[in-house]
This record gives sequence, C-alpha cells and structure tokens, in this order.
Amino acid sequence: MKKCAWLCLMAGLAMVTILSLGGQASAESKPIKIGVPGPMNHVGGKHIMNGVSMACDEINKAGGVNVGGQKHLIELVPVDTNEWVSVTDAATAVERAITVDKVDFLVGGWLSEAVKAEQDVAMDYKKIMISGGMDIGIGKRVKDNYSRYKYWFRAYYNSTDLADLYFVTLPMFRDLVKKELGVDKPKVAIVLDKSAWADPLVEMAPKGIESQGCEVVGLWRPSVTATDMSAELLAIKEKGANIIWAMVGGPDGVVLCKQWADYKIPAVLMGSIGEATYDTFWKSTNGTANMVTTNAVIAPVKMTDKTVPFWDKYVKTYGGFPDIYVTYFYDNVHRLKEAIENAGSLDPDRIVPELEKIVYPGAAGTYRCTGMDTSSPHDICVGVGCLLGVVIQWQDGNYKVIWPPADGSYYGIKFEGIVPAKLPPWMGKVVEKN
Amino acid sequence: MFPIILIKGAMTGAVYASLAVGFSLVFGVARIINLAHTAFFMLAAFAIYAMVMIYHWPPLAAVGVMLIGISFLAIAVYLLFLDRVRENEGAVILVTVALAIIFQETMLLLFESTFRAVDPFVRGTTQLFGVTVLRQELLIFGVTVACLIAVLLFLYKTRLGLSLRVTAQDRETANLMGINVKWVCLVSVVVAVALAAVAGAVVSPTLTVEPYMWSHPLVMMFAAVILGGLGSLKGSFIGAFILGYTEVLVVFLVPAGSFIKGPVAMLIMVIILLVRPEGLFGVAFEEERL
Amino acid sequence: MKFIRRQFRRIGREVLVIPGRAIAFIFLIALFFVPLAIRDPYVLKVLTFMNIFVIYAASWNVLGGFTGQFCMGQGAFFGLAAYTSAIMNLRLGLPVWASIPCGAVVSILAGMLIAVPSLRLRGIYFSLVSLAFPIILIGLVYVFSGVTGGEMGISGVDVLARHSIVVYFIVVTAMVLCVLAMWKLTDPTTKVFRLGVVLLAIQEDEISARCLGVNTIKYKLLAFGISAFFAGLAGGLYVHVLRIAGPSTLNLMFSFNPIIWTAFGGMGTIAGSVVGVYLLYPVMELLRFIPQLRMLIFAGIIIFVILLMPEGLVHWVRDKLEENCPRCKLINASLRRDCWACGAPLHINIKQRPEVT
Repeated sequence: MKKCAWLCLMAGLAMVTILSLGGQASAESKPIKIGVPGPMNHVGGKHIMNGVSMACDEINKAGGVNVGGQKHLIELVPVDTNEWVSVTDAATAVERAITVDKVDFLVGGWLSEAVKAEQDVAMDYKKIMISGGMDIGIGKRVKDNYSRYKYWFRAYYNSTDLADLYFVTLPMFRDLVKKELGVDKPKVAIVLDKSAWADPLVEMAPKGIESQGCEVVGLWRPSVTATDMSAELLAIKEKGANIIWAMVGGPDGVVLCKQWADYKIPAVLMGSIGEATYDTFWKSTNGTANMVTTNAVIAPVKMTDKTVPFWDKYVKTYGGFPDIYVTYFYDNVHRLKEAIENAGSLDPDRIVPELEKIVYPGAAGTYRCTGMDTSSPHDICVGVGCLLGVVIQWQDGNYKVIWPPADGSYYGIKFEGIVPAKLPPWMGKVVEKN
Repeated sequence: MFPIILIKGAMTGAVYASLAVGFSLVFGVARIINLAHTAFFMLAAFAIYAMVMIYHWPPLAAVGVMLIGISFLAIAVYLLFLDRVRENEGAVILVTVALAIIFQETMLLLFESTFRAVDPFVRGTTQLFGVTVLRQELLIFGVTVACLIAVLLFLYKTRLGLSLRVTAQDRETANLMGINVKWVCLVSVVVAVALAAVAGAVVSPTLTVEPYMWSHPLVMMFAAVILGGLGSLKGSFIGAFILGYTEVLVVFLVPAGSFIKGPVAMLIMVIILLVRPEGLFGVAFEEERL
Repeated sequence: MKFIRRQFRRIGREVLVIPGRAIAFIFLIALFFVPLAIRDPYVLKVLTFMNIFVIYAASWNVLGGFTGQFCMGQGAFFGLAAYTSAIMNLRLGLPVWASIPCGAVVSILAGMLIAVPSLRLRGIYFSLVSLAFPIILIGLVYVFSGVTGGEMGISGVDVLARHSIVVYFIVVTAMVLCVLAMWKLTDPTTKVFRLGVVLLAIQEDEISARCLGVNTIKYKLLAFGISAFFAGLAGGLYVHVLRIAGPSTLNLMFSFNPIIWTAFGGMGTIAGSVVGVYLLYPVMELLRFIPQLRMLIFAGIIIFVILLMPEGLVHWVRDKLEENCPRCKLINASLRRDCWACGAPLHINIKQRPEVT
C-alpha cells in the first residue's frame, strides 16, 4: 500500500508539474535579457558563458545599454542545450528560453547541426540570434529567404571563407624542412576529420599544398570521435611524410597530438587543430605534444588595441586563457550593444540593418558583416582589416605566435612578440640516423 | 605495410580480447549481459589517472589498489543489483545500462569532460620488425595475454574454476550437485570485472581518458563476443582479434575512410552471423533450461 | 444513427466497466482538450514530442514486450524513416502527408531486412546484433554525406502546420490512432486478429508454438513489419516537427530510450509504453534545472523501478485495480462485488461458507 501511495504521488506530481510548466509568468523585463545557448556541461559552453558574462559585466558597470536615451542593464539567461547529445534538447531549450524565460536576444550556440534547429526556432519568434557554427549552409538560408532569416547573424566566419588562411604557414615549414633536413620537395600528409566543415577541403587541400611546392602523399579522414589514431599515424610515417597538415576540430585533436608525440612521428604537425587552441591542451597531452602548430583566434599580441587588455583581464578573472568561444562571443555582445544603441530601439527590425552596417573593432579583429552579394550573408568577413587570427605554436609549454611573420611580409602586419617556428625536437634526431 | 598491420592488429585485438573474454565469462556462467562492463574499464582508467597523476603513486601500487577497489565495487553491484534481477534478461540489460550511466555521470561530476592523459608506465618506443611500437603497448600486450592465461589456468586447474565451468554448462544440475550458484556467479563477475579493470589500467596511457570512453569499446566488445559465439571464451578471444585486425585493415587500405572502421567491423559481424547464426564457436543447439 | 448508438453502448459495456480501460479512455479524450488549458508553445512542443515518442516506444513494445525480440537498435527504423522523409520532402519536393508514409514504408523494408538475420538468431544474440544496425546506418550517413548532410543532418524540412496547436492536434490524433491500432493488433483477448496470442506464444516458447502448427516465421515477420512501420511513422512525424533529420536519432541512447520508457511503464502492454513516456519524459524536462545531476537521477529512477517493479508500472497498477471473474474469466474492477457479465461473486470469503453440520 505504501508503494502504491508513493507511486500515486509521483504520478500526480508529474501531471501537476506538466500543467504548471505553462503557467510560469515572468516579471516584465526592464533589463534586456540575453539567452546564451550552449552545451553548459562541456568546456565549449562554459567558455561561451565566460566570454558573454565578461562583456555583460563591463556593459552593466558602465550603466547598461543606452536605448534611445534610457539605460537598460543586461541580464543573462544560460540555456543548456546539451547539443553534443541531443539536437531535440537544443531546439526545445531555446524555445523554452524564448517563451518561458522571455529572452530578447540569443547570443551563443556552437554545434552547426544544433544551431540550425535553434535558428528555425528563433526565426519563428523573430528574435535576433548571433550564433556560432561554421557550416556555410546556415548563412545560405539568409540569402535564400531573407525576410524570414534576416534576424540571424553569425558570430564569426564560415569554414569555406577561412580556407585560404589554413595554408599561410605552409611556406614557412616547407622552407624549414628544406633547410634543416635537406629535403627539396617536402612530403605532406593530409588529415581531415570526417565533418562537414572539412569536406570542401578534400578538393581544395591537395591543390593548395601542391601549389606551394610540396608533394601530397596521402589523405586520411578519421572520425571526429576517434580515440585511437596510431594506425593512421604509423601509415603516415611509412609514407615518409615530412609535414602533417591536419584539420581536426573535435576531440580527435587531442588524440592526434598526443599519439604523434608518443610515437615520435618525424613530421611537422600543423594546420587547424581546435583542441590545440585551448589552455587545457598542454595538460591534456601531458606536456608531450611539443611544437604543435595551429591557426588560432587570439593570442597575447597587439592584434588590435583591445586584444592584450582583454587577454590579461580574462586570465585574471578565469585563470585560463581565452579561446574562440570566449573571444568571439565577448566581442559580439559588445557589437550587439552598439548596434542596439545605433538603432535607438529594441525592435529587431530596426536593429537588423544596424548589425548589417556596423564596423566594430573588437579584441580579435574588426567585425564587418558580409553582404547579400556573397554566398553566405550575415557572416563576418575574413582577411586583412577584418578577422584574421594568428598561427600559434606550442613551444615547451608556451603558447607562442609564429604568424603573421615577424618581418611584416604579410601585408605589412607586424606585431611584437612573434617568434620563429621550430621543428619538433625528435625530427633532427631521425635525420641523423640516416 | 604488412608488419604494421600485423602488429597494430595484435595490439588492438589484445585489448578487445581482455574485455570480450570477461564479458563472455559472465554471460556463460551467470547468463548476465553486463552492459556496464566497459564502464568498469572506464572507471579503472580514471582511478589510475587520479592515483598516478594527482597523488603521484607508483603505477604498480596504483593498479593494485585499484583492483581491490573495483573488486569490492563489483561485489557490491552484483549483490545489490544484479543478483536480484538475474532471471529477467531484459531487466538485467536495463539495470546495467543505468549503472553504466551512473558511473559515467559520477566521473563527469568529479572530473568534468576535459580529456585527461596518464603518463605511460614505461616510456619510449622500440622497433619491432621495423615497426615503431610504444613500450607501453608491449606492456599492454604482455599484461593482457598474461591475464588471459591466468584466467584459463584458474578455470581449468582449480576447483572453483571447475565449478564455474560446470555452472556454465548446466545451472540446474550444478545446483543439484551442491554448487552455490549465487556465489559462483559472483566470482565470475568479479573475475570479469578485474580483467576489464586491468585492461583499463594498462591501456589508459594510450587513450584519452574521459567519461564517454566506454561506449565505443562496448560496441566492439559486443561484436567480438557475438562473432565468436556467446559463452565461448575461445570464440570471444578470436572474435576480438578478427575485429581488431578489421579496424586496422580499414585504416590502411582505405585511409580516406578511416572514420568508418567501426561500422565496417559491425558489418562483418552481421555478415558472419548470417552465415553462422550462433557465432564462429558457439554451440548450435543450446537449449535454455533455466 | 443506430451505428453511433451501438458504438456508445459498446463503450459503455467494453470500456468503462474495466478500470484500466476507463482510465485510458478518459486520458486519451483529455489529451484533446489540453490546448484549452495550456497555450504556451513550449509546453505544447514538449507534449508533441512526448506523443511522438509514445508511438516510438509502443512500436518497440510490439517487438520486445510481445514477441520477446529485445531490439536494442530501434533507432535504426526511426532514423531511417526520418532521413527518408526529410530527403523526400526537401530534395524531391514531396508534401508532408506523402513523405511521412514514404518514410514508414522504407522503414518496413528495413524491418524485413533486419528480420531476416533475426529469424536465425536466438534471443540474446538478436538483441546484441540489433545494436549494430544503427551503427551501420551512421556509417552510411557519413559515407553518403552529400545526400544525408553528414553530421549536420538535413535541415529546412517542412513543418506539419504553421501553428503549434495544430501540430499538437495532428500528432495527438496520430498517436491515438497508432496506439489503438497497435493495441488491437497485439491484444491477446481480441477476436479480430490472432496476432496478439501468437506473439505471446512465440515469446513464451517458440518451439512449442511451432509444434502446434503455428507459422512462427510469418508472425515474426509481421511483428517486425508492424514495429518498423510505427517506428517509421514516429520518425517521419519527428522530422516534420523538429525540421531537422540528424545522426542524433541513430545514437545509442536514442535506441535505449524506448526500452527504458517501456520497461518503466510495462512491457507486453501498449498502455505501458504510453505511461512510461508520459511519466519519464516530463521528469527529464523538469530536471533541466539541475543539468549536472540530470542523467544521474534518470539512471537512478531506472534502477529503482527495475528493482521494485520488474514487470513495469502498468502491470503492477492493473493487478491492484482489476481482477478476473472466477466463473466467466472476464476482466472486472477489483472493487466490484459481482461480475458485470455473469453476476458471480468476485471475491469468495471463506469465512462466509455455510457451516457443515
């Protein structure tokens, strides 16, 4: 009988709470509510939250957002989307944030599959959404159906626009290999993990690499969630590669770097390795993955006037250093604030043209919106005078910038604190054995 | 290329074998499908991480302490949960899934989802037939083979092992013969979990340690066990190596498709089962007289 | 007119007398009136998903609870239908009411394909092998990422209707129809189909069933077909509510969910799937407040239920609410004194026996 009563209580509670879920009224929002979707249990979501919080604090300390003469503070609403596990969760979480928590804007979102679902929900309610996700398809929708999707903006660029930047350090390493190892035409192994953002590179990469005077010895495509790449690495070694050009965005990045170091594969490891841009990288690989090179979003050099102060402040507040999630979303909160102030109102239809026009200098570069003439509008431009990023190399546990090169040969850009690139310590030894 | 495939396949197979043999043992003796088997593997890896990296204990001591701890955990799990639902196969599956989730979530709470790395017990690499092998991998191979031999000796040379084999053959008769089936099942669970834990401990330096690491080995282990024939230790052993070699072959023969090494292994399993439904070494007509 | 009056009398006689059926009847009718009380689109969305998952869980029940084929890869049917429906809708331009049945039909074909090896495999082997199918499908999804969108999935699929209330009604109607259909198909006491009895017989002892001349192969194939069809229907509806078809429908947990819901609610009875989803899914939604402990509590609930009520909630409740009449064997409410059909006393109190002199 006790069991029965307990179960009846549980069932009744469940029913009552379903019905009461609807009746939650929230207080009239004088503060501007920004929903922050992201996988909060995951380091990506936490970093998004960090970046947005830091920006929000700065704005609130200065009095808030000035909307047509009246100042409003910003209130953040974290929205745990659980996107790694379930896209349904992501979509319902965002819908809940809009209808129950009554958020005015959405800044966040990360996994492209989930972002697409969240985008549809946000557009239904005509809420301005500044999201992550690098798939070009998300932006294409703005072009195909402007009136519905115009409220969406990307916080950064799409992966196709970024492609050219992946090849910029190849000449540097090609020359280094030529000099140190005496190889005339360095052999390059291409590693692209099996994800949509890397797919266009299957065609582009071999052409780009060969045009730089190198020889392509093979193309490997591990799974994003691969836990063991030793077979791939040994095959790469067997082909005699001198350089590994890797585009790995997921957890396979840590596996790749760690096993590359464990097996002492005699090839330079460079490319765009997402995991290598995090402050936890050195610890995750136990300090073995020396001389890993990757494109990165930010470094403590004077990319813009705001970069170094932002970097220092983040390190002081949160301990680790900022990465792509922190930086871009931090900048975009400020960008949104300025657009709102320019529009002088909270009406999304009036803010959209402002976001399209605005040129915002942030901590990672200057944010310019791509126009309707490009294949993916409402993205951020890539290149000199826009978002450029840097290329870093982990040298003995230190996060060092090696590109743009110190001699200013790239469009005259010169930062202080650039160091030359180095080869991994075991490469020289292998040559000696020969 | 051939030596690399031979050696890499052997290494991968050895790890899967230590998981598959344990799982098969538990199923054969106790008829329990323990979906949390690889979750113990994950727990062992985290335990080693904590003891070696955070508290800086020597690896040997860490492995010893971890084994004792995990054995107690296995006993507790068996007595509290598995023993009560042993008869109902569906319930066992659900309980073990829930346990695996609980282990995963606990590790998430304690360690978060950032990847952890464990220092190798033996550092450096050597050359084996011209192939670069990690010294740790040699250790893995050696330890797993030694453990498997130990289990075989236990099963065939001791009285307790004899009672396990008898229970696997026919539970009712074993009961009639005076064997305490409940305790025999407990022993099988503990032995299997210990095997998985040792595997987890020695493998941890070569993998990224994170709370979700148990799902891929789980699927591969199932495939190995089914391929070899449920309840047949020899079958599970061989099935594990077949799958290990399949994985390595896919990477070498189809480098642009190395992301499908998992599904390909599954496909092979399904195909072999179409031809021989009881697995390679399973017994064809095994009447369930439970 | 007479037909309608006959139906009402039938309801009065067959449904309302039996407490279990009465509760189910009232519940299903109430579902239609929910939008009167609740207008919040978020809650309606959650309820819509719950109804879709009810069809999904019930489809698993047909295989697992009735036929004893514990399929751990039900997500393969769901995901396949979802992708098919999305591709038909987006690339071939089929309207929603055509793409969903297409998805379900493809799902049936897949069901037949999966049924073939299962006919030769014994119970546990089949369960473990069924895990392989979603994984193989994921492999296919990634290999043909041009068509399937790879890990991005296919997005921009048409929605069932513009208004979330209309979507809710469509899905609730679908759910009620599917559940009633599955119930009628698998109910052992029905005189319309023999299917239910045979499936239970196959579950209990297949060899004896075959000895009795039952063509178990045909019935197993039927069970697979029905299960795959309804799972496919759920998949098609899902895609047109979420507007995205992605590989998340093919992952391990997604295939385990219907098993967990049904085991919680009650295997071997369609009502079990309904109850399981309706109780567990809101709990998971509510637990969003404590995201770190969410899965942990969920797993804890599963263990709690399995240990206390291994047969499921519905069986346990029904045992308390209903009893069979000792004379005519029809189901009666436990609280009644006499059977509603034959009038025999339901509970015989031994103490009331007349004294024998």
